[in-house]
Amino acid sequence: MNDRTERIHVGALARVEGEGALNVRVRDGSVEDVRLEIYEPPRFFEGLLRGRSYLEPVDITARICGICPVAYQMSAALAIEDACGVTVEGPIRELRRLIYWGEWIESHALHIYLLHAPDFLGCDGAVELARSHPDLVRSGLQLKKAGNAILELVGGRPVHPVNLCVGGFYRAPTRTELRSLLDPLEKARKTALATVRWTAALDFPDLRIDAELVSLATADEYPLLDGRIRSTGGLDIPVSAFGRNFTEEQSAYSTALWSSHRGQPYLVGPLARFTLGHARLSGDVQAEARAAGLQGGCRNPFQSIVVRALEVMEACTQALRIIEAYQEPDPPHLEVPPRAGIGHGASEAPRGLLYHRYRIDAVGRIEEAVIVPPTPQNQRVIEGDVRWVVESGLDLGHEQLAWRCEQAIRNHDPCISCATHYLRLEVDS
Amino acid sequence: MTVRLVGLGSELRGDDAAGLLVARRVRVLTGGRATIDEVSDDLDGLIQALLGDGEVIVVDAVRSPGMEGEILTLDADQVGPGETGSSHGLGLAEAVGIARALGGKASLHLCGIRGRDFAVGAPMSREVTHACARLAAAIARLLEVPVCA
Repeated sequence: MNDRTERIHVGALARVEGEGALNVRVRDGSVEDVRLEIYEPPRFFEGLLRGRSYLEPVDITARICGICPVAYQMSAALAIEDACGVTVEGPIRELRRLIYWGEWIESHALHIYLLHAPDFLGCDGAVELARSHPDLVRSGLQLKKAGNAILELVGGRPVHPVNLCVGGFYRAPTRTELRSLLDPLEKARKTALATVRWTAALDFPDLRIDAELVSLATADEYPLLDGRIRSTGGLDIPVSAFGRNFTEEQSAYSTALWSSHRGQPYLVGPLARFTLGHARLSGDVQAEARAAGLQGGCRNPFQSIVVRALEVMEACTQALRIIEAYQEPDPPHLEVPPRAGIGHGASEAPRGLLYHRYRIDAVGRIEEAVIVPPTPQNQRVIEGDVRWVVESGLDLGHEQLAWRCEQAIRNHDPCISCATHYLRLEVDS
Repeated sequence: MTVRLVGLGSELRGDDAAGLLVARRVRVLTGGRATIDEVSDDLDGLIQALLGDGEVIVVDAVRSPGMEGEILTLDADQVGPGETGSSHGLGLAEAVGIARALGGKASLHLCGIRGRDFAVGAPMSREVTHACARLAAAIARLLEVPVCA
């Protein structure tokens, strides 16, 4: 690029979920503007839920995303149970963690192998990768299949599971049924270990995100289901304080709402979870993290592929542990009588913190719903990454720089379909 | 030889639910005897089916100029890359390409129903609904006939 105005426009981002575009304007060698434009139609789920029964968000919000439905089901259930004064513990909670680990396995495997790996291995996409590295893609499909098997057995089907409800599950699998997953999960764990090792050997540009990292945290578990909200900036709050600490605003060029903390961008997702919670990973996963050069955390978004691989290894380890120790919950769900009030729920979707809030009336009708997915929380950091890529790559050709920008976005595995739902719609006419 | 039916689509996008509707209808018509997969946002299930042996019939909505509700039979080569209603940008063409690159040898038959409205939240159009019923009946008759090896 030389001393004039250059524009990089990627009309439809490839290998991300949903529909979005990127616009960058460079003038006289300086980056003037970076816009990640989400043009997927808004989903209006928050409005759709008003007037519905408090038992319905678990099924309805699962439709927000085809790749992370369990995350929506969990955050919804936790928020409704919070409003009604019910806490789910014991074997039901363990079963919830099992299906959630299954979702992490299949979501991360898809991203690592079919969406992200091509960037590092010189391939245009998954088809070219399958031709040049068939064993790699087979490994990814095997991992994904293992994750899907958990969702299908525990949730009733691999996409938009139907067996989850407020209070737990409609039916609990038997011990024998769950033990059928042991063999594929043992194999998956070995594949996950191999994934950590080959991703750790990739070349990574040297980028450091300085934004505050935010995730759930508990005393003794890697962040997944409930806990408090903590950050690298010292934040330590209950989930119920989310709305007082994080704000959403409408962007002029996106149908997704943007989030900030104390007016600043922040990041949720694997890098945040790993940096804040790495000491609560299983011992052998921690050892692999150290061997990969990731002790103490990770702030390089290009290395998120390694962190996701570590999380897949942890997910397989925990899933095996849960199955070995499984006690069939009886009954499979707690009764949750409706109670007027406001409830808050948060869990760690594969892409990061997912927050739900519901206000329900005395007979269980939903009066208000707020859903904050991870991707809009990350949008400003993603734009900052793209700005860094452009500033450091101004000597590259236009096509290569555009590809680097797309890679910077793919580092964060954005779920654009999840991001585009909001309640306020203003029409100028 | 096994014959597997895979219905693709999204329930949230109007006529894009056509493949799912056909799959469910065939399941009813064959009394659950046929091997049927519904693949919504995740084409991994299709890749797995194509990596197996036998024949795979894929049904999906088609976006192209022409009469809504028209039933088309397509070659895999006719499916364009890129525009999909499914998650993570893995469309039908990519799923087929991955399966073939990995040596998948299942014979693939593509049936499309031309749709009109693929907007999020849109209802399925009448023409597509009728076409789903016709195609489901035809496939159910086909699956009841032994396939010659």
